[in-house]
Amino acid sequence: MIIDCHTHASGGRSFGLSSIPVADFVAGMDRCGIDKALVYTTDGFFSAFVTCNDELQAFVEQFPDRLAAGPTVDPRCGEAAVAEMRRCRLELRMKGPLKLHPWLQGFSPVEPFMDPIAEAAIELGMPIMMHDGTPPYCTSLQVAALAARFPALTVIMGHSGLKDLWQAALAAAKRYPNIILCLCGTLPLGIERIVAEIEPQRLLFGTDAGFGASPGNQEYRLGQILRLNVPEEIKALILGGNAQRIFDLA
Amino acid sequence: MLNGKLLIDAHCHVGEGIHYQLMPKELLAQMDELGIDRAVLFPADRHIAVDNVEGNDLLLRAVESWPERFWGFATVNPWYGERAVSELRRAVGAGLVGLKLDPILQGFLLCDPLVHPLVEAAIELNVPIYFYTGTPVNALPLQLAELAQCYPEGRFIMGHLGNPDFWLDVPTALGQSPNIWGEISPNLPAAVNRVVSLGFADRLIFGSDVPMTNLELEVMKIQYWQVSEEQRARIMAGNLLRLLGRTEGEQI
Repeated sequence: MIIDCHTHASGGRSFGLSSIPVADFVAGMDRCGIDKALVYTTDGFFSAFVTCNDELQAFVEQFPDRLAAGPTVDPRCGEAAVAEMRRCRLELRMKGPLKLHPWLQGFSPVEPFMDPIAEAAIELGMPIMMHDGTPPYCTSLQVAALAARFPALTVIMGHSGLKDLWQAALAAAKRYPNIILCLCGTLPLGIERIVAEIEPQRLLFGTDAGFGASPGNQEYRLGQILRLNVPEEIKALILGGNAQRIFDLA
Repeated sequence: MLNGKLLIDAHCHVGEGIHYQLMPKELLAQMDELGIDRAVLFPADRHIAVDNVEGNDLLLRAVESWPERFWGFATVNPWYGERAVSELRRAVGAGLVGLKLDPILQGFLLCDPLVHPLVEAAIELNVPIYFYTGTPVNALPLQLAELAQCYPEGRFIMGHLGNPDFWLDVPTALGQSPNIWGEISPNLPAAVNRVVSLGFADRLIFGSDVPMTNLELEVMKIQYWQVSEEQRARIMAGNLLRLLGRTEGEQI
């Protein structure tokens, strides 16, 4: 089972990228042998998040066996944000994590309005995935600070430090056991080191498919994991086993 | 050759660094497997940061041993001042064909006038300068465009096209400065396709950044560029040959 834990749909309006019909999105997965994908918004980081979560739900519902959604909210919205988390989890039955993108959404993970968001996420059993690897609001240790403050919260680093900060992501994962690392756009050298040093049960993989879609993008990111020099059972955990467990995917 | 086309990898790090090690002979074996005709060698991490002479000497030995397979770009830390300029002259005089500067490992703002003496020496020596880019706050595409506009007679390479987060700035930087070429590692095909679609295919250069990356996967991406076959050949080798003032005939 291969599960892509970092993809975007209904994205595009905000960056002038073309939006991808769901059939094409799934065809891209088929081409790479990806069984399931966790899908997040892009436009929702900039505009009405409730509407964007509904659009996302409509997107994944077309392939319920292949796609699962992870909503977003604007954490500055307080109660309205918490209510939207509940709606997405309890009414829409979204299985994915809450996806936040602090630098695009313009907040820092260390700000106090994150507290009710984190508390609701813990109560709902919903991990929080954040973009990481990018200053000034998404350095890996800023994301890790939320994991430090809420040990019961599962925090997923969406990119495990990207090209520049994988050493910080690695240090954070060693320090805080409630951090999960998603290997997606991480420097390939960093992927090797992270896989060598972090328990395999805490690793996911993602392609960022949908954000600037071209054939070859997913093949490249998946290839980073397939070519790792580790036992097949570890690869199987990273590629899908862990995601099945963490997100309750059949 | 890859599918009948010349393939030059414009960005490989060799030597015994602290974070990684790759010796020229090992790289050669990988190149042979993947159809890479030639590689441009760059020093390893600590050689870029401090032990510049040691790194340049290693490159010189490699290009002397395999002149048909390797070219090399020297590095010097601009904080060495006059000594940096002298070392650049020595390394280029001995056979290296470009200068690599790295604002992150070497600790300077890309467009700091600190680098002007080196830029002027590179222009006099008729060699291009490769700048690492992509990491804020001091290694950014528009900082390279600013420097390149100070030296319109210079030739500059934007390493990594501002990867990962400065892709929006790349077309602006290339538009401001016709004397900037872009080396594409480790970008997704989508990033290459975007820059091509904006009219910059003649300024893109294939590179891998091995051993920070997996060489096979960097080569694998070539088939996914949405370009004409002529453009593909240029990105694979032609643009770099033109930048270095070489011809395909000389190469083969």
